[in-house]
Amino acid sequence: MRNPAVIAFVIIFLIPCALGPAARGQNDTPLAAQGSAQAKDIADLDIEQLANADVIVTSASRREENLRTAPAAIYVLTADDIRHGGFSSIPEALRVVPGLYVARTNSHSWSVSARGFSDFNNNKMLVLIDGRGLYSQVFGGVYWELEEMPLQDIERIEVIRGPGGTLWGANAINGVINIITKKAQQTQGGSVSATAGEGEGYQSSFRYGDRIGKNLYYRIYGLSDYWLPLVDGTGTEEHNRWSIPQAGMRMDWDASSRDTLTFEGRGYDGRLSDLAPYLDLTRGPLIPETYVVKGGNLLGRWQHAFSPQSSTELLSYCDWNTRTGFAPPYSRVSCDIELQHSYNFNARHAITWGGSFLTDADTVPGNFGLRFDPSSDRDNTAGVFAQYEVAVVPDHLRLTAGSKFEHNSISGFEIQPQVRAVWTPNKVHSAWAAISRAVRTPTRGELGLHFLYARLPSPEPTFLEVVGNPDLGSEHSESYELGYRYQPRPSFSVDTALFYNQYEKLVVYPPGSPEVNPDPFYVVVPLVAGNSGEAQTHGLEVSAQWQPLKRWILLSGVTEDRGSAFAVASTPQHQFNLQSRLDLPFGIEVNSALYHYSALPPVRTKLPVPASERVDLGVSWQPTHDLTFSVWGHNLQSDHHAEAATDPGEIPAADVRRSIVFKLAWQFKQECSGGRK
Amino acid sequence: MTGSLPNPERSKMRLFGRTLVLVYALLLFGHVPCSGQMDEYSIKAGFLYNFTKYVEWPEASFAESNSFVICIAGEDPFEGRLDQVISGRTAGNGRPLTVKHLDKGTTGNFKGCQLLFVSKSERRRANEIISAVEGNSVFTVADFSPFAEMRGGADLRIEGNKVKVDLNVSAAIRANLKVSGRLQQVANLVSETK
Repeated sequence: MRNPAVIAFVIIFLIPCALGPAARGQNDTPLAAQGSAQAKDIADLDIEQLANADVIVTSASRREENLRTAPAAIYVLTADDIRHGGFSSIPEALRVVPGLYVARTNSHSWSVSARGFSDFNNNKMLVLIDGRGLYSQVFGGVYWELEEMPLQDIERIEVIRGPGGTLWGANAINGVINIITKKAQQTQGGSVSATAGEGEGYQSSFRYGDRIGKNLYYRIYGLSDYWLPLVDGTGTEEHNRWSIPQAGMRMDWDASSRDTLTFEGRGYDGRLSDLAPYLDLTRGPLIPETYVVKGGNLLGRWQHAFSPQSSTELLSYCDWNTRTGFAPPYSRVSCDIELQHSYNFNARHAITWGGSFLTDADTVPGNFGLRFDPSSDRDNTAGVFAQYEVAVVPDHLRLTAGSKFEHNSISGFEIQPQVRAVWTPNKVHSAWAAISRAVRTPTRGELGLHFLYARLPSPEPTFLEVVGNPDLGSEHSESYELGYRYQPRPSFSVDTALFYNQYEKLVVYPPGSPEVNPDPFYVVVPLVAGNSGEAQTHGLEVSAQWQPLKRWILLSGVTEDRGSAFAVASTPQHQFNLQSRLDLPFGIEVNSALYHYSALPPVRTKLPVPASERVDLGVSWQPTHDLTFSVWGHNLQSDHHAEAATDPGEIPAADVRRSIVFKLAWQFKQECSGGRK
Repeated sequence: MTGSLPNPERSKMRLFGRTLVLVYALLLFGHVPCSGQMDEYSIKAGFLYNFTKYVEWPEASFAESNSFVICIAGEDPFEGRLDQVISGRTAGNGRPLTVKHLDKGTTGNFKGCQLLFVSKSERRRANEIISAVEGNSVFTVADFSPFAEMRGGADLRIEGNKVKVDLNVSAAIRANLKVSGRLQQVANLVSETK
């Protein structure tokens, strides 16, 4: 204690922090703790005071009530769950979801898959943010790096494993990830957060929310970040650092007791670097390249209730982005409009029906190594769907049947029907079953890509070329699912799902006979896309939640994925995770998680990936209601490990690395207007 | 503590300390506690309790039992808050208050209820419930909107970050209930659409 600064720091800073909550009285202690005292006092408030009281939206980890009776493999990640993971990006936060496999292939690329087909071009999952589809029609996956947002603005993430084509349309063949952001009412006041991490990078964000007039709420936010690169197999940093600063807003207007309007918008402008394949014969096989990415989106939603039985929703959005770098500058604009109407005839019969129109245009000028044929294209998809729900035995047996009918400019008409049933004999048990058919339309890449993606180790320049096929049709799947949920008491629940999927007409790339280009001299082995793939997958997903003590929650998940080698090669056969959340006195929380992934087998020329464990540990301290410090260690078990395999010659998948991250979050003003006088 | 430090260091130290004190004082006291903030179902429980005082029931409606019965139709969202609010309190007319839970989907036994809280789980049965209580002195309050406009008594809905009461005075009159002017002033008065 020779340094006076240390003493001063302890006296001035730490002691008041510890005393803070006591000194500041009951009103600022967390609601859960003050619950009963507060409820009793309510009776002393007069009716005018009640009318003026501000509602605090509780973010308790309580799952939505109707989840218990959902006839699908659904898992909901609440705002509280996301906070307890200590992650800084959406795909990382999805790691905890049982049944998903999250493989980070480099600093800015993730593959998030369910039930096999883990791949960077993971084209069988549909991801939405507030209804806006993130599916890239160009390559089929999700550019996760373009969809960053302050995670504290997420209300919940609903993850549905299995086909969702009936409601969501094509490309939801293996699952739907539905990200829902908080309403502006829930983010009033300001907040500032800063994150700095060894092995991860830096992130800072601010948010301010306020009200205009009586019923119009808004928030604006800004986020800037800098992500460190991942490492290669020897632990050396690679060329995949990135930074995509962005700003955005959301506005919610309760226009009347029956109408709610929402507007959202955001824009970003950033850089990311990566190794890129050669662009011509002379440059090396892989060169570091910097990409400039710019884009944004606008979204509007109008919800109207005609009566308690009848409501409608109109959604429209546009999204655009450009990417320049590894020669062909790419640009894409997509716009969508959807109308949905729900009508409950009575307590037993209900129908949801609607229509949608999506237009998606892109331009990818070509170069020696990569070109699209045609270089510009527009695809339109129009669809209608209807789903009928009937309570065969009220409160015990419910049947849902429906179909989506879609027409798109690539593969023509598509039909995606499904039938689901859920049986809930009592509050403890519930069982469900489903049969569905889903389709995935070919991407622009599969239709018209010409990509010299790997150079073989031979004296003459010899390349593997992926060649698109304009005559491709859609991939089809038939899925059979069974699920069972068991909740003997509120503190313990188990959710299991079994699935069997049969895929037909999968897009595969069989090698063709080599072609020689005389001048300049090189040899090309074409891999031409065809619909000849067939596969089956089956597996089991179990998740459990147990709260042994009021302040201690344990969550666990087990996932088994089996099937045709081609379908499950990049997905661990066996995954396990265990998370523990412990709330200690004085606002201290200790969170830990253990993950196990079984080895990925060698397939074709791909190298095997050994089995791995992952250990995360986080401690957070909330000295006052509006201030939180936390420290997180991710991947504590080893310096680095791989989560995905690549073919030789491809851009190699990087190893994820250990990171130690410090976070500070401060909320600086609560909405106080109209409070009790 | 700082006696051994040379002067310039000392004043720097003092400045540093003062700044910290100021910053922390701002953190500690700068935030005005929002005493008007409560969770949604505490406020709604408060409203239900107040309805027992600002709505007048005919004596005949207490024929079956002497106590004032608040019924909850469907899943109970209060998690014990309503019981805490009314414990040790009486209704406006001095009668003891009790809470009765009705199963999801029941339609027959609303008669013993003075106040019927219709939970969100019963949204689809709104019309059935309204018809079932018709002709009885039962004040129906739904946890969803629109309800008052559909011949229901009242509904509680979140508008912005406040709980709003939509009140249908004609439905109350039909049920032979008197709604006090004070409640009418606080509420958003709605008329029936059909």
